[in-house]
Amino acid sequence: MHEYAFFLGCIAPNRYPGCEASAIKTSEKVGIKLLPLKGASCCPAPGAFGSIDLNVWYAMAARNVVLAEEMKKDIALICNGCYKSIYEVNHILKHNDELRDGVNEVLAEIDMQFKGSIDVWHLAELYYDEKICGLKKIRDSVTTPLNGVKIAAHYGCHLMKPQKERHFGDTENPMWFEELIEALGAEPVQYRNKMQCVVPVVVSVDMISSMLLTLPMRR
Amino acid sequence: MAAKSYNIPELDTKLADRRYHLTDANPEFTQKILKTSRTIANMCYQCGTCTGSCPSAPRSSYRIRLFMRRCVLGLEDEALTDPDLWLCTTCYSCTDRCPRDIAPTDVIMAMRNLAFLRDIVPKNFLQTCQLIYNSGHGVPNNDVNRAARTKLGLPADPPTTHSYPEFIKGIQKIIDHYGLKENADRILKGD
Repeated sequence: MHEYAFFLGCIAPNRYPGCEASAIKTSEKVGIKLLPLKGASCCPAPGAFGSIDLNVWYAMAARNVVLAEEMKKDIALICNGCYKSIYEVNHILKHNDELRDGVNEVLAEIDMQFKGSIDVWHLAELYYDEKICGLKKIRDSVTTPLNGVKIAAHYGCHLMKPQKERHFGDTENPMWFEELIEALGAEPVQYRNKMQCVVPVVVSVDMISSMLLTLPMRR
Repeated sequence: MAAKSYNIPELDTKLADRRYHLTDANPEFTQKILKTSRTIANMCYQCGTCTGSCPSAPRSSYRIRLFMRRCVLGLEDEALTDPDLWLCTTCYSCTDRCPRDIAPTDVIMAMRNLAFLRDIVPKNFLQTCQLIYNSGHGVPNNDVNRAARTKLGLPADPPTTHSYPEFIKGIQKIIDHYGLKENADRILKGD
């Protein structure tokens, strides 16, 4: 059994609890145990906090990482926005001494210290990883194959981009999630704008542009 | 004439004037951006791949290449007061495709940080800050969701700051360290 600290974020537990429940139940079946990360907060929202003050964004996300460091477990999460915050801040602070010192100065006020001892993973990549779960294990665990179901995968920008700071490879036409869909017996569908932005950030600024932006997705 | 109008005469005149005035330039602005964004924005050679990749560009007057130019030339006022600054979706398509290996998205984020110092910021972002300050969550739990959670066999409140409110104090300390709550309250009150 692989154990991970399960970072929930805001939307999954507070708006779509089905995502949280299914993540915990399915993971257990394929040998991944998701432990609650007690006291975690908002990741915080990369669009809002990053735009206002990047330093607050670093410090707040580092606090969530430190909670998992204290558990001595890697973080697994299910939200792309959280992945951007938690993964990227963990990555930046590990490689930038100046920023890490600045963040640790603030965290010292609440008796915390960022050590950079853990990694952050998206649950989907753990499912795909041969060393953790892998396609074969998923295929074997299926009890009701989704035969005849067509599924279009949408990867989302904050999971895959920027490419050089992630480890997913190609961001123009990725295929790994389609392989996961195939493992469940469903048929992955290819469509235009698979990597198109879904515009969460602009919604709070300009409703009309955000509606225009999502139009091509509906084709 | 500029293709767009913001009903701010001063800004409209400025946008209509496409000449480069040395007096408008602030070299420190470029340096500040380079430091905050941690990317080599001064290496931009204006190829336009960023605007070509941008999902906002075909649907609005937002042009990321223009902001890259303003960064290189140090046109601080023009960059920070332009409302288009807030139309970047932070999708990082430009960053992936930039032939100079620059991260234009991070340049935009750095400019937004500087704009916030002038109190230029969308209200929704500040409201999110207030929510996180009070509950630890940008999207807090509600009764409808609590019922749904119980039905799914989950505890009514997730094991986050909702179940462990003693952690909220630490979050408030971090936010207060940067004076973000005060600023958010002040700016929202002023509107």
